[in-house]
Amino acid sequence: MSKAALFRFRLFVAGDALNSAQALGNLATLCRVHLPDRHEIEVVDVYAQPQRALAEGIFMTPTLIKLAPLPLRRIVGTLAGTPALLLSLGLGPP
Amino acid sequence: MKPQQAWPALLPDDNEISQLVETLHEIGQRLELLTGGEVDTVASRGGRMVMLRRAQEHMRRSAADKQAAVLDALPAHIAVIDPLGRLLMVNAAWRHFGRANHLLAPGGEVGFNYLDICDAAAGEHTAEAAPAAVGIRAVLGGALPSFSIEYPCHGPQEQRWFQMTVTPLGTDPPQGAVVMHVNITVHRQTQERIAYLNRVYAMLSGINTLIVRVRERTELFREACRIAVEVGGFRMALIARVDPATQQVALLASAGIADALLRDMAAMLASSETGPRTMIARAIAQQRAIVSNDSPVDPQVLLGPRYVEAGVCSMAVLPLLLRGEAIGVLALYAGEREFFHAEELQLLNELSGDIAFALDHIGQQEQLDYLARYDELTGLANRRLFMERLAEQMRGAAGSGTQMALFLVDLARFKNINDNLGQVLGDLLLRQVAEWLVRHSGDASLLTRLGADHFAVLLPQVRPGGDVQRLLELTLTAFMAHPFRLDNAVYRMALKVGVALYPADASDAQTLFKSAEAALKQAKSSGDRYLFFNAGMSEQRGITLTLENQLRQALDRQEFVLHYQPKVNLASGEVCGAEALIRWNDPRSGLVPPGRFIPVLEETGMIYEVGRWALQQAIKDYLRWRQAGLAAVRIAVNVSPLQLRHGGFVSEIERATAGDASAAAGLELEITESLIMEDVRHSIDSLQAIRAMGITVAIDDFGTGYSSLSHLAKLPVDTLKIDRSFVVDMSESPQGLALVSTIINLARPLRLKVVAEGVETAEQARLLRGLGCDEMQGYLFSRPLPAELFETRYLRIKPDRIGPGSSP
Repeated sequence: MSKAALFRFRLFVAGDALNSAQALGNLATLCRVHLPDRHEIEVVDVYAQPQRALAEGIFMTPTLIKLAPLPLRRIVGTLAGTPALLLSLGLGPP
Repeated sequence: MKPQQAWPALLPDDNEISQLVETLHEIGQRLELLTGGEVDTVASRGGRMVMLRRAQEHMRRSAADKQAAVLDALPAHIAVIDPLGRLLMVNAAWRHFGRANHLLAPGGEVGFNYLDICDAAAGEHTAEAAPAAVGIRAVLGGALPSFSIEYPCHGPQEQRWFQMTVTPLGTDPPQGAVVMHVNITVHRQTQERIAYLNRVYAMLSGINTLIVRVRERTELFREACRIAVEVGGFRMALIARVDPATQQVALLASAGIADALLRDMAAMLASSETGPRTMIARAIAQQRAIVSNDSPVDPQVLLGPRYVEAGVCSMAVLPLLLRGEAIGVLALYAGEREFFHAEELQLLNELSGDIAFALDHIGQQEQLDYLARYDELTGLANRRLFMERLAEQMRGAAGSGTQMALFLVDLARFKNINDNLGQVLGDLLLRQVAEWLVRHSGDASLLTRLGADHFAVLLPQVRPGGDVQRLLELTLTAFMAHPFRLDNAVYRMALKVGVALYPADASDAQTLFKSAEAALKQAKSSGDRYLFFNAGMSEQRGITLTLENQLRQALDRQEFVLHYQPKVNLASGEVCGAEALIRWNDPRSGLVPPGRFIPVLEETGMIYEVGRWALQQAIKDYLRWRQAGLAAVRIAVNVSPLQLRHGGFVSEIERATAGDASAAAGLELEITESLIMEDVRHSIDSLQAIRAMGITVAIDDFGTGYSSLSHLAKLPVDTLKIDRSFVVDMSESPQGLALVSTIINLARPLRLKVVAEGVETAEQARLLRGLGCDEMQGYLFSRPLPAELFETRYLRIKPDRIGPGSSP
């Protein structure tokens, strides 16, 4: 079941600022390796859509929100360091 | 107004500002530290994102770096100019290449005004600089949405082409423009090559059409040169030929070459010093194309500067090769440098091969025409051509009241002289006699040599009241008085003459000729020097009438039979076919020779019915042979003019074979060449229909008609039969041999089978085999045989039909 679960992410970035760009790159790599064909990524540029950042209580960029599967998780930063990240996303080794 | 006073009051004091800045800095550093440098922005209390300094710097630097890196990576030369044309920014390619391009240098650097640079270049040598400046101003002024121009920029070693594109920066009004120069040399060269190749292809197709159409050398040369210049786009074209006797090169035709230059070229070729060094002479000597792709500076081009005046920058001389020999050259001169590359040369070599092939065929055709229509010894028209002219004269004179006289002349005692003096002197005497006759008849075209010592002369207009007899007597006396000198001795000769008059004695050429022949025959047997034709001589006619009646009865009583003469494959010696020949088995006198009754059948039109009978009989025999399990061979049946001209001929053949494919496969129709040529278009249609049934078609008596090569190639036929007269001549004179060889060589590329008729000696068979003739028929192998005899002698039992009991 869990293998088939769809991962939905929302990534808040500040344009193509360095950390934001790295975060997007790391997330894309992670999804390609660990979640092939079962992920969705929505990228929100806080400069383009500041009201959404406000609505979701985003205080820093880059911020990743894992929307599904539950529980909801927020991770701030460049999303480097795969093992820790995988654990926090519930993807680590059992 | 208040603000001026309020303004200073709003300013905080410096101390406070520096404290705030310090606080901001500390907060920023603290935030960086807290987020481990992994965060770009933090939200303010109001939800506004504030970018941290590190991220800000990075963004600023990376945008500029990206832009510069992208621009520098491009091969195009790119600059940004402000609305006045000043250079704000240039990329690496612009800086690097600038020096070699007049539209970039000098001073194509940031801070200079690019419009000034263009204006300066326009004053000097670059034709495109002025329109370039106009275009840039138009884009900067908003008048044009963009602008583009192509221009040459040739270096000392190479040709280069550029395209300049001007794109506005922003609109309404533009804040400047991007100017880009792209090197399009390769693209341009590719386009040129395609254009060159297209020109060569067009020329090739034009000249090949010409080769099929033109039957005459001079026209072929002249037109080929014209097409090279008009269609091929060459500046000049030239065809030269090697004189086989002197090995000198002669200019035959040209196009686009000024007379003075042509004279100089001829002089250069003729000079023993420069001649052998010319590209033309070298192409001939080395039998390969000689090319100069930069003729103005090429030392092998002797007339280089003169060609420059004519606008020539490259040239190729292609040898016309025939059977391993260079018989001439085709020279092409192009206005462009570097015109002749591998692909063009390959096409042009094909072309020169085609021209050489056409020349060869024209040569063979001329030889064939000449041999077929003129007497080799005296140069006079031969019998065939003379009869044609006679018929033409008679048609012209018909109904006009014009009288004509035909003289058939026999040189008395010639045989004696020839035997005593030998053939060489005999031939010399005949030539002198011919010359004398030409001198005294006034029109060589109305004279013919008919046989060894036979001549005919036509007097095309006997004046009313003119005395032919008196003229003849004077002429004969003068002839007798004329001293013919042979080998330091003087001979006096006498003539015997038979005369027939038109329209008194005959209304057609054949009859007129026969009448004169009858008169001559009588003169020779009597003591008279000459005789006019008279009714008494036409007893022959009565005999013909009787014969006609007998032949009608013969048809009713089925007295005609078919005899078969085998055709033998010259290589294998096997019987591979048979010609069906009509014989008349007259119950009163036995077999009648065909020469005695076939002409009567033709004259009376009975040949139509007899021919139809022969066709049916041949098919019957063939099917019977097959039925009997014999390896039946294809039977050739002669078709008469009357049959072929008959509208229902094709359907009649269809009826005769009754749609039986095996019957059609056993049948070949022999049609005389002259008959086909009478109405080529109709013949082609009929022959095609016949061949579609599976019947093959042979041209009979080939060489005696007037078929031209172009017709021969188009005719739907399978076989050529060489007339017996040529086979006889073949072993008697080199000309005769050459003629047969020519016919066989004509037939080969057209994939026609060649059959020699009337082969009577082993020598003839040997010669024919040597020439590559396919088949022969004649008395050497077998005379025509009755069907039963032919069958038992030459038709084997088919191997697959041999039963167990019939083994040898």
